[in-house]
Amino acid sequence: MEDEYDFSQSLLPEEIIGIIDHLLCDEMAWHMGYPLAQTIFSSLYIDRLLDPCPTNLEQTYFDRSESCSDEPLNLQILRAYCLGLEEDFVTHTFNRSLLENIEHDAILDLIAETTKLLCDSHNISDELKDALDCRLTFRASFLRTVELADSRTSLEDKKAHWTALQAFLPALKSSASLGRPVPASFSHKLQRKLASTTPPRPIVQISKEAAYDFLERICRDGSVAAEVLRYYDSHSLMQRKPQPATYIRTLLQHYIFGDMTILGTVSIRQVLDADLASVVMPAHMLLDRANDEIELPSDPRFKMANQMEVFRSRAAGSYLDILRTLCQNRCRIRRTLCRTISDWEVLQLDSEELDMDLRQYTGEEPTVTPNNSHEPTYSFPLSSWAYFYKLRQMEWLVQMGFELEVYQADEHATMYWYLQYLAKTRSRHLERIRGFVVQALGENRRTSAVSREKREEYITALDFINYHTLESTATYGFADALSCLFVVLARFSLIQSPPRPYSDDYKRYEVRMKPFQLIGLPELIPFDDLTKIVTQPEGSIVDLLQFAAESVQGAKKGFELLSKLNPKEAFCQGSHDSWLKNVKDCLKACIFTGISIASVRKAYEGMGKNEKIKIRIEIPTSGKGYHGWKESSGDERCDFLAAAYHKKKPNDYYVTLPQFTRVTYRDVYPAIDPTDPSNSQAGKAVVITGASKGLGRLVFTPPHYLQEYNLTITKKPFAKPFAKARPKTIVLVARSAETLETTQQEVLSINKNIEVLTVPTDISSETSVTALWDKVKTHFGKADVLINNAGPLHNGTIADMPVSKWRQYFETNIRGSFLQTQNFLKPLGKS
Amino acid sequence: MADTSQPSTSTKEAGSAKLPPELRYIQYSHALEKKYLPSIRALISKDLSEPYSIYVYRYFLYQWDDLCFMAIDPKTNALIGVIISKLEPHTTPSQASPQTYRGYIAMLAVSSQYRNAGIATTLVRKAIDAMEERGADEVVLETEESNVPAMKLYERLGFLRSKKLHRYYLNGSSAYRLVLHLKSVADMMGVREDREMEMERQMQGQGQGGVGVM
Repeated sequence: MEDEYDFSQSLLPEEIIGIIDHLLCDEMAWHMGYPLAQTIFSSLYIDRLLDPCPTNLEQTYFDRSESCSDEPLNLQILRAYCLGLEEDFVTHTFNRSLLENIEHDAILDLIAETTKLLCDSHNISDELKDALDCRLTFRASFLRTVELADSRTSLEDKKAHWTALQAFLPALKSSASLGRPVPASFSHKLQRKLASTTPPRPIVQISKEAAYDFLERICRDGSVAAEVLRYYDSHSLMQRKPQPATYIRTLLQHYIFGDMTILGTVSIRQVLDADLASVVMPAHMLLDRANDEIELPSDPRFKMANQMEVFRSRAAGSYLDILRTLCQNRCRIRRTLCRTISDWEVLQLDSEELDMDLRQYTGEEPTVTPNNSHEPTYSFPLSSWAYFYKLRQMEWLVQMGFELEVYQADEHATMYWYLQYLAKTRSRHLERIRGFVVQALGENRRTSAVSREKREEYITALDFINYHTLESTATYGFADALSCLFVVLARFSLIQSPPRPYSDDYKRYEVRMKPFQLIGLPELIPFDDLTKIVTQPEGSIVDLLQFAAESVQGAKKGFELLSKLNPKEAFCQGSHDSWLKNVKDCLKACIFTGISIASVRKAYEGMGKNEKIKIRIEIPTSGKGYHGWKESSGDERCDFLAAAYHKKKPNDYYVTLPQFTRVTYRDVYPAIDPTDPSNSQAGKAVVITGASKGLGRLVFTPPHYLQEYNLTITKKPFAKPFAKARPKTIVLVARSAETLETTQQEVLSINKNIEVLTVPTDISSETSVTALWDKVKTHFGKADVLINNAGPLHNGTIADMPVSKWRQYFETNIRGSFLQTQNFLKPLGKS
Repeated sequence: MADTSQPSTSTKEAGSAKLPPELRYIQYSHALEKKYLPSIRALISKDLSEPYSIYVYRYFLYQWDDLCFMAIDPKTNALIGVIISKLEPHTTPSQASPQTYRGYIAMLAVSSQYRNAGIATTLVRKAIDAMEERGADEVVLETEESNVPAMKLYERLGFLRSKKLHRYYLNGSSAYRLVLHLKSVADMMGVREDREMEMERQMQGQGQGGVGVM
């Protein structure tokens, strides 16, 4: 124990080298990720330095009975080295502050002074002198390099320092044999003194070779890490996937954050404001720097600036936590996310209050936006921003659960469902944001000329929203497909649950959903509902597989589109390669999943009565970075992430995916406003074909989720505006009577005075069309407007379209439209 | 990880078995230290990658001897398998979730020639039963990511992986934390206390004050 260790004993120079090299091994082991308690803190000399925490260099003598003047040189060398070792980028110090009261400069001075004494000394052989000198200089250089991380020197400077440090290695290695170990100066019993509740653990010992190798890697990685200093935008920072281990991530953290500035040159405020502008509030008055200049307290701009400062100080911590978290190892990232999502929940609630308070200064009026509900709402910019990031992190949490193989086979269906639920929620939230951004842009253009800079901000925000819409759609499409597939596999008993005598489904649900328990929005789905919605007891196997196949097909397309984005469009500047690889892996995974779904379907169709399905499922335990599964009919493998598509596509799916103009305008200007008197359809009879579309998952989704899920029947671009233009009658035409009824109700909810007639019709059939127009004739005599909207669309290229399908589309789209138009015109010609 | 830094469990369920007809399972107690501690240490250090000092054994066995169970060959009295665990109130560092009464399985080992006979499962069940009897809310443990048999054993009983711990063991391999809830969250210790305090507050508010809480 340390009581028995004699700190005043003189040590041989060889022993000093021995201890220093031992400490270097400890230090590297610590960099590899082992706790301080099992590495550096096992040194009695280090303990002596730190306990009690010294406030100046005078208090750092090992032998406290002596005065400083007669400290043996050898001990001074050791002391200087140990002090130099205590750089201070540790988060995990067991309540021991690491020399925080002593300036680095003082330590560097001591090292320099000691080096000089060493040079002048005559009792040590030159060989040993060189070895000790090399170690001291190395330590000083290390200290300086680390210190640079805080400073704002150029990135070339930083790189140079790492390279210089690396140059010490040969000398360190060659002189290592001179050292003589002093095992008595290290003890695991020191752990007892540390503030920790864990039982004592053994000291970690790594070989000198391993230590040197690791040091070399540190130097190499260090200069690479400096590259991060080229700042592009905050989103690109988040896309970065640091591969190197512990140490470089710490460095990255240092490079990314130092004194509330990011990457040494950009202030946190700049980054935060730029992020806000690019996600929810481009060219927004709240972010106007000019507000800061207002000194009159009664001026609303003064208040805005004040409140925004409140918000920034509130949000900066959580925001930086995201960037900081991403600098950690994958396991820790996931654990940290569990904690940070509840921080974001609170941040969102706080921001909501700020949003409401700020309205009195911004004068925002509630509005109906094209992408929103029919109720006028406020934009809630700050809480929208917080909600977006919260959702993102919740998705990461689930995705990383797959990546780290935390979920068991029989949990996959549920967890994939949850992933698509979160991604879909994000997608809907983006639609809401888009609505307000587009509206703000429209208003801006009406009232004044939009400056070039402002326009740039709008374009960036819309690019960002487009990117994320695509990415989230792709994710939920793939997740949806996988969830359905796993449900099917479970029905075939290909995935079985263990007996679990100590547990039940509900308790395991609680374990799994624990991170989401404190989240208010999106609401945690209660156990019973979740079970039902995931297993879809009413859905047939054919339906489930069909849906899975369509979802994954769409997801594939989404990833294809993503893979064509340039770094700027994908918000991954500086890390495009790793981002692209990830997207391509997802694309491959979609293809394999598609094949798997097809082979399951084939096996099912070929299955005799009372026969077992001839498929064997194998969920591999390995899989680097990605979760995958296999089945015996092939070597298919699929990843956890995925692609775009659902039968309910986002409102602008077809607009944004292939668009070649950067901005899509969707504001309703007077010329096309159906409520504008000049557009009135009063007294007219309107026939709309293809009036119902996109039933999607409705078929097997419990009705109360339709509402929450916003799974309304989509895309009736004509019925609703026409209802607003108040015609006398609307005739809704489509193949199925049932779906027409829903459209009918929607029309009536907009204007209940319209006479609505629903006529199920097959447009490609002459008799069916004639029957329709006979009906129109008996009811209204003639129609005034015909919207030839009906027509199927093939989701693919000419190359992969079956001729029979083309023929069928031709019948409906061309011949059908002709028949409709002819019948429509007939009565008009006579009158 | 700041909170726990603990052992792995190893039950590589391979190996032959000429199993004694009636295995004897006994609860450990201080009185048995002389007789069994050396063989417990020998058995565990042979199987687990993590080296443990005598302090680690004492830490567990002094405080929770009643949560340690041994499988003994009745003829030779030789130790065939052992499980070492603890049970104490647990608060998460972040205070995000309420305190729970948490059981922890620290070490589990079965002599290699007796594997694949359900001995490890019996030992784990005995430990969990003992914890449950003492009112445990949940049981947790860590296991090496490469130790598939151990993971299967625990997952068959109802454990779920809750997180992965990077480079958790000295040999550099990562671990999974496994969790088993014995009660639903609403019935767990911390929550119940909150509720009692809430009731007390309400009663005092109504001017009925001074109602004792059991």
